[in-house]
Amino acid sequence: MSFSKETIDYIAELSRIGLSEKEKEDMVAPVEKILACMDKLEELDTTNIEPMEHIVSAVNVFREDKVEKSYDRDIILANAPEHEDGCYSVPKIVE
Amino acid sequence: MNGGKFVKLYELTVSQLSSLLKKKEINAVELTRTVLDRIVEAEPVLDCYINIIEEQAVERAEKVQKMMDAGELYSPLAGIPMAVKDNICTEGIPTTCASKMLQDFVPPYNAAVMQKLYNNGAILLGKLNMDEFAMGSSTENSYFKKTKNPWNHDRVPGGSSGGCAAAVAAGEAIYSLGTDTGGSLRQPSALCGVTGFKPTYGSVSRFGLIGYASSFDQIGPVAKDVTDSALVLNAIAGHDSQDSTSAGIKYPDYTESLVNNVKNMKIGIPSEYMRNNTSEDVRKAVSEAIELFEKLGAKCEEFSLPIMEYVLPTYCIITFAEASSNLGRYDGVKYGHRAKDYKDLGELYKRTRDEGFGSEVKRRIILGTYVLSAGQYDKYYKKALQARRVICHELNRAFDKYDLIMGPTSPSTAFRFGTKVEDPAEMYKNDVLTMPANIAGLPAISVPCGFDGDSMPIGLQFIGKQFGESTLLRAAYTFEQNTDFHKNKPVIKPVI
Repeated sequence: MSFSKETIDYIAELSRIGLSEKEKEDMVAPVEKILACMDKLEELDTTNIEPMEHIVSAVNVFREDKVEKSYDRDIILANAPEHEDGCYSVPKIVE
Repeated sequence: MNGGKFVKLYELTVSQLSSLLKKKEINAVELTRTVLDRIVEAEPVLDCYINIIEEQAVERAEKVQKMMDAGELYSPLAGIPMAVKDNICTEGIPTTCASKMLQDFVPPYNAAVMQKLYNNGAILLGKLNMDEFAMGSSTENSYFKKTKNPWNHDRVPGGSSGGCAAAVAAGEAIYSLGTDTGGSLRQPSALCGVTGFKPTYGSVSRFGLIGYASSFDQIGPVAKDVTDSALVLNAIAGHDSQDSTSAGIKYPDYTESLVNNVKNMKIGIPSEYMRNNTSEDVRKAVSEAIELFEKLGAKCEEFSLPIMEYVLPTYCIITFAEASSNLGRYDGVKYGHRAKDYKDLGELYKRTRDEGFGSEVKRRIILGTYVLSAGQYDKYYKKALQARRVICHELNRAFDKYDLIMGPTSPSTAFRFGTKVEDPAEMYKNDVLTMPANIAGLPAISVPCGFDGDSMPIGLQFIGKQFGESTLLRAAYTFEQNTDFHKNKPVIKPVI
């Protein structure tokens, strides 16, 4: 399978990673090798096999909706790279 | 002691030190200082830690000693200095995941396991080095430093919990907590000659663990012997309502499984574990272990597990997909790195993620996004979920016949720096013998079982049924009681 530079451009866009041209070039060879390894699965017959979403018998966990202790705004915002007036700060989105 | 050789406190196990503490022959502060001194001595050579919290450790030791004196703390972990992998959140102490992305992240809360250890009187010494976001098998992917194998400083410690295994082997921590997604605590334990124990998925809370592939990730102890592993698991296992995959079972006292007896135990050895890439020295050490088990009354039998061929692609597809989703949260807004130069929100995301992540992390996000993308989903992701069910089924079928699966932990011993970084597919193959336990959520343990021609440690792995920790611990304990491999210590030559 060939993983073209165009595919990397598209997937990098989906992943929101601004790879440099050099990074994209360097990525092609290893990614193709890994995909070749993944392609091996095609040999395995999985007809009528249900995809396995959970390895343990998971059931929905319900609880009463009750108010519990949360964190102070200042503590949470302390990790934010930028904040203003008690809110996270991001570039303007809507004109 | 030991033929005149003076044994240092940092060389002792949790159970030995706990007994000395209880008899008041030593105290927690003195013990903590001794291990901190050992860190000062060995750390310039080994680089196990990302962050050492010397003052806080001594303060905590003073507090814990007072509580022990007042009869308020009885845990065997009380007063014992330890460390955790840097993807486990520690309140007020930076938790970086060995990534530039989280270089300045200080968690506002403790992971469930950390809180439990503190409640048991554990003394945290610091945070251990790892592959960035736990992605790797050599700890070479850390943003900060390269941890060296204590047995040979030109070789890797394994990974991703390389710092955890190297620190315990070198006496820079009495035990540690690592995490295991595809072998990330068993493989470094094997390569550094210590004991690494991945419990059944769901038996240790993942609350506060920074996620890589959430349906595979599991926290477990890295320790000097099987007894210590059981003592630590006793403290950290249990149901936790903060983790929706936490198992609501009755948790046993794991130390009750420490029985030196494997008579009539049925052990299956997959022939695939003993051929392919498995080196001659590893094969020989494991064959000797099989002979020993036979001699002790276990019934060992080789069997074929052809599904092993599909383990690596299944693992890669599902874990990369989960990683691409899990790591979507690093956007430069709520926490972590933020690029300086951007003109809009889209560019903020892209630059932040390009600058903050290392190349292996980016590669896995790209591949994970690809296998989930429209047009590829059925071919890769859905197919891998189907393969996961087939692999689980095949493993369960083996457990109809055998109480345990046994084999090497890693196909080879520790390799030299830089030898596999260029070819990631080759690097992933290191974990192929440990991946099945994560794919099926099974408990597995690695114990030292010999040395190769270059005196590098070899690990023996046991894989049990889900929640079959008891049988696993019994076999591992019996092996340890009848061998001396775990007692060997590496010699750390100080930098001159």
